[in-house]
Amino acid sequence: MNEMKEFRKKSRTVFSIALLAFIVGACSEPEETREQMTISGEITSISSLDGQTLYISIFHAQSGIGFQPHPLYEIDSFESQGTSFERTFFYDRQGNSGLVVYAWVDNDGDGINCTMQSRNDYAGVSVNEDFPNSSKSFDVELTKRCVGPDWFYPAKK
Amino acid sequence: MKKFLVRSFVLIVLGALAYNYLIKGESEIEYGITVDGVEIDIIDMHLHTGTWEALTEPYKERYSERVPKPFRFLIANLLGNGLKTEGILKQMDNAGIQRAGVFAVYSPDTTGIASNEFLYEQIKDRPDRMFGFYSIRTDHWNLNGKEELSKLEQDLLKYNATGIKLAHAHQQMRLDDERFDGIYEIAQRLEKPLYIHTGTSPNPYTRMEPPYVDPLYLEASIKKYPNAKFILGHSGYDSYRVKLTYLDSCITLAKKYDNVFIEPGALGSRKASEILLDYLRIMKEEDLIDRVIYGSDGPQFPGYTSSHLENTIAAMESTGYSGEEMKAVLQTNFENLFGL
Repeated sequence: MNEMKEFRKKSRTVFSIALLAFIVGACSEPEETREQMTISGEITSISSLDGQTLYISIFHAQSGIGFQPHPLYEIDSFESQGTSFERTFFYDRQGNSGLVVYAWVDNDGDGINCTMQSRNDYAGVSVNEDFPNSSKSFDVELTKRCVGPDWFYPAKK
Repeated sequence: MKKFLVRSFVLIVLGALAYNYLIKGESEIEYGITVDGVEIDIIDMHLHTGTWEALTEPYKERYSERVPKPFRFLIANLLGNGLKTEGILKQMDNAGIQRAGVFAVYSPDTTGIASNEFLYEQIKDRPDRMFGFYSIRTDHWNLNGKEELSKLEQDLLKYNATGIKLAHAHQQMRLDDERFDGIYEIAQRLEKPLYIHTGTSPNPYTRMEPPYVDPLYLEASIKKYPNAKFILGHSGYDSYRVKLTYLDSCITLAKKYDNVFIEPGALGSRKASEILLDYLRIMKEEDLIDRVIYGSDGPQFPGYTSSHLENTIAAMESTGYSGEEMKAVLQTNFENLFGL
């Protein structure tokens, strides 16, 4: 008897939520909040970058997408054969702020930011927490071997 | 109007199915299996809890793609309930599994958050059936690493944890990043084995590069903490490419270090059906059956936990596993490692 009552209660809950979702879904339309941005920058390193492939990734510094705000939500990644770069991408202001540009140089040419045998690929970041309200220029200095973007950001100021 | 009628029809059908599903009594359930006269009380060490709300938006989209369009408006409620106590137990019952590990996760970039507090609430009343693997948030590590380590230690003690769960690729942590050694130190000191996701994942924004997915990058920490137990989740399964790309790394580590174990989560899924036989054959040939601990990565969707187990058992039979070998993988390796 109790099981039946429990089942009826669950059914009512499911039906109510479904009906609400149906009404809300029918009445709302998603709003476009993305805008096109172009950034540029220069990459330098304590080692020579001549003829080396550079791997560059762009992240929201902080993002609200997901359950809680968190840093380093990836927007775009690309390769560059030169030390200067320019990149255009869509930036979503809703729930996001700032920009982190992370780069690493593939000194041994294996396409991996350090293996366990070869650990000579340097990485660095450039951070602008005020983006897109200010500078769109990002100069990255590669200073640390075998690390990801989270090694640099967020960090104590 | 047509849409409304279709949805109403779907609700009625689902209601009828749910009625049959919910009234099944616990006394009707048969736990375990018998193979060649060997009784096996199966433990699935890898199940998830959580809520629809705590999943990330891209992950919700991926989940929704698994469900036919007319059913999608119900997914939040169905999935949410399926990941809570009763839903998890129901999936275990349907699979004939009496005991399981259940994981907390802190992956705000990728799969979302199921906090330690939430996990404890889901499993606290069934310590006989559900074992908690608690986790740690790592995305502000330079700012609050010490506080997070302290919280992990407190949670492990407060909740009488069975183990620790980490997913470097989901949490955007390199496996060779020594800043996280404090976690392994706690695992060693408190004698709480670590379950560590290895291999790639189809979940959006998961890191795919070798430093995040190849367990060889963890070797320095495995060596540094010889009394911490490392369970290499998914056996390095390259789920994105559906290949056993990093299995060799798992085998190398398991042969070299006594504190390394391997779990085949998701290799029993339909997607991996072509490589499951190879996987089980390799583990037998490499003489590593005593290091394999069964897990599924369920519940995912209704029926997954059960079908993953059925596929694994069928594949073990096809590859010549004896009853005793199956018992080791499905039950006793876990019991031995966790002192049950």
